[in-house]
Amino acid sequence: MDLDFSEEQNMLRETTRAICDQHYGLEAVRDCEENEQGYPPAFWQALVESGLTALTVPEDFGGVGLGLLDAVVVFEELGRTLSTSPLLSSSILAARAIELLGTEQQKSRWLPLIAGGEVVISCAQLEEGGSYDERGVTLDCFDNHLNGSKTLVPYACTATHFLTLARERGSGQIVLALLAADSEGIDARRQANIASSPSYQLTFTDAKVETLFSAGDESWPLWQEAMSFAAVTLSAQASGSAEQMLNTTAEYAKTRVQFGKPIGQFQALSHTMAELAVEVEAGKTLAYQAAWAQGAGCAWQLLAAQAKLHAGETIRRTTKDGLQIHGGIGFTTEADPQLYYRRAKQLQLEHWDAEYLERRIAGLLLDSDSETSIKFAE
Amino acid sequence: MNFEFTKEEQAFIERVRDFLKREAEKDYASEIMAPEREGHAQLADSEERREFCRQLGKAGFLGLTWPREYGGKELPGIYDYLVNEELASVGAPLIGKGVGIIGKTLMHHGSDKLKREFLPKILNAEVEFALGYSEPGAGSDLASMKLKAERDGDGWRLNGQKTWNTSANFADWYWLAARTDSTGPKHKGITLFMLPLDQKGITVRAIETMAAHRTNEVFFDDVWVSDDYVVGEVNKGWSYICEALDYERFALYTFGPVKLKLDALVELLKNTERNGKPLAQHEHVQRVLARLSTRVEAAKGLQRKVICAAAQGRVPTVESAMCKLCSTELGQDISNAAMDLLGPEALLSHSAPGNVGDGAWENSLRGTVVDTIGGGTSQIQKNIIARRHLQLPNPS
Ligand SMILES: Cc1cc2nc3c(=O)[nH]c(=O)nc-3n(C[C@H](O)[C@H](O)[C@H](O)COP(=O)(O)OP(=O)(O)OC[C@H]3O[C@@H](n4cnc5c(N)ncnc54)[C@H](O)[C@@H]3O)c2cc1C
Repeated sequence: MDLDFSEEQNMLRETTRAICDQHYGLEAVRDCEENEQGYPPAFWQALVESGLTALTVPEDFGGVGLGLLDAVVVFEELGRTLSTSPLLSSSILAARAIELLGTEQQKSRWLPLIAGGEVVISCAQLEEGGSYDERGVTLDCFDNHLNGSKTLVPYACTATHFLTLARERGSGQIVLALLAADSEGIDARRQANIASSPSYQLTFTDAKVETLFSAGDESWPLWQEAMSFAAVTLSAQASGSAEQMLNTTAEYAKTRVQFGKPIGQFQALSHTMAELAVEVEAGKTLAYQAAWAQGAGCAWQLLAAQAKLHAGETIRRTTKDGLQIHGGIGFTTEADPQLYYRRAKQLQLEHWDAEYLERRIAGLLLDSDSETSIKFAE
Repeated sequence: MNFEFTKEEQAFIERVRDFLKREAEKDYASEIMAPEREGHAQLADSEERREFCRQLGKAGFLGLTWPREYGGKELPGIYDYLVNEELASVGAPLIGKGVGIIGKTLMHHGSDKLKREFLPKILNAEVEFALGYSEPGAGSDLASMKLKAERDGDGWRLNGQKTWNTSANFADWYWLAARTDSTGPKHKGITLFMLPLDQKGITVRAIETMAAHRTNEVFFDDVWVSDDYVVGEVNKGWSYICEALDYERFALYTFGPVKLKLDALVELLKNTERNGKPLAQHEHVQRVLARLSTRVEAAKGLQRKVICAAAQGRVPTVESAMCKLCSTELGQDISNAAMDLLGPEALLSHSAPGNVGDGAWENSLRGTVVDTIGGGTSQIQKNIIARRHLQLPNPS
């Protein structure tokens, strides 16, 4: 057993941190809350140039060919400084889904473009009603055209393409439809939200599909597998945010004096922070384990769901308690904790919320033979 | 034992409701009745809201519990509470500092001049106050405040800083605590002053928060206050501040908003579908609601203990601490649970297409953060309960 990262992984962490420091940072996070794009263009450029958009794309398709554990290292760092971008949606979720569902020809066409940052893909899954279940997908796909709407689509403003979950008329099967963002018949409306992130409601009216990905009955389980893959990176991102929030809080508690002593000396606060530290460490390791298992060819999707559930709860609790420990300062926009607090709920609810995760985990736990054909309790 | 309000109290509640119904028909109603504002933001911060407060005064709902000699109705303390519950339930500005802390402190300790000048204005809602206690270095440890007041002629010269002074941007008068003696114990050198906020030397700077709740930091540069505007005796301010907390107990802890939140959530869950059936029919949702509703009833019980103790003339320090701790933590937990139950669409704000429940819950998740901080943090309430109720030793 060896729980250390490799030399290369440590370097990857350094590279990511340097990019965040140079091109993002909390000041930029604040600016991005106000502007339409939602992330600094130079940051995206740096991700492309350093190969991070190609990280887990296979070498055969123009990628770097690294694994999920390497992506975890990257996303933990991104989370630390709230450096969000379409990286997760495009290079992790969409790329993985295309890799799993695409024909050789489809993969050769799209994966190199994703790896090189030439296309930026937004994944559109959720519909009104907010269900991550298969039955939540009702958007109609017929004769290569889409009709219906999606909600909470991230970064639709800068995406070049949308990868849209749809239901094929007739067969009723799930398909993944890739459309150019500037196609006719796509209407995008910005949705203000707690995290001030660029989320959009998309309405498709006879919008033409560019590439249709389908694996018949297997489409849904394979999409779930791609979601699991992305869930691990998102867990790492949430853990990174939680760890940073906890560090900031501990620093504050060392310097803020009330009743003649640093407030960190009050055990009501120090014990709370100690508990958070346990949660954060456990959550990080859980994501590492899920990523490692995926790379080692072991059963990993149960771990992925557990990692996401744990990380979501940890970031919520860390930011809630972290704000409380900051006292009045924590409530102000001038101070940084609120940036983490508002994003925490998004990290927790998006990309599988707790209720869905509980059912998924129970399903996988009770039917351990088949990670891909899970029966959920209703 | 009887958990119900008396006949008189019930009749009074009806009177307040009738008044509010009439107000709700006026043009300014949508501006005044804003239930989406969280409790701490229920201030008379606009012309419309001030006009509403004047109407409250005209209808005789201000000074209910004041002695007759000061223009009051000499009703038991619970009546202030009853008014506030009704106001809170429609999201109107509450009767607050003026009728409570400030009016009552002036009646007990103020000079005749201050009483004559301010009490009638308070009854008519002609004056709004800002409360100036907290400082950057003095939050939970309020008695360590430093804003300096130095003797100067027939008055005092103030220099220093306050922070978190909500209302300072629109109020007329300041109710301000400052340090007049730094030689003795920290509790013994604080004095209360009254001064107009538009006075030269006072600079008010906005502090924006992550909810619709502006507060302020305020800087004092050689601000002069005459002896006439010292409240009570010099260096006795701390005891007045603590005493005033007791005047507030009736008015401060409304229970309605928490109950209304839960009711609104139940309605929403009945009318929002997930996977083909209303959320309220999902088992996990029912379990969460069962627990929240139990906590709401428990919080109500603790709140009732506060008003009953106060009605018997006891100082309900422990009851208030329990009530505040329980209801503020619950308010946050309801918002959080609501978002968890409603799922990702609950992240969407009021203005977003496709939101659920009008975006109220993400607003609430931000707004309720301050409830466990302002007015004594949850940790401070626990300290009070540990020491006063359980008689545990003070650690320091
Ligand atoms: C929006 C808003 C409006 C406000 N309005 C007003 C106003 O109008 N007028 C006014 O005067 N004040 C106002 N306040 C100030 C408010 O009363 C203080 O914020 C509050 O008392 C906490 O002080 P603090 O923010 O300095 O936090 P601190 O006192 O610095 O607390 C930081 C943390 O330390 C903990 N802590 C402190 N002491 C102990 C202890 N002994 N044991 C365990 N834990 C401890 C706290 O619980 C908290 O978690 C307002 C505050 C806010 C945020």
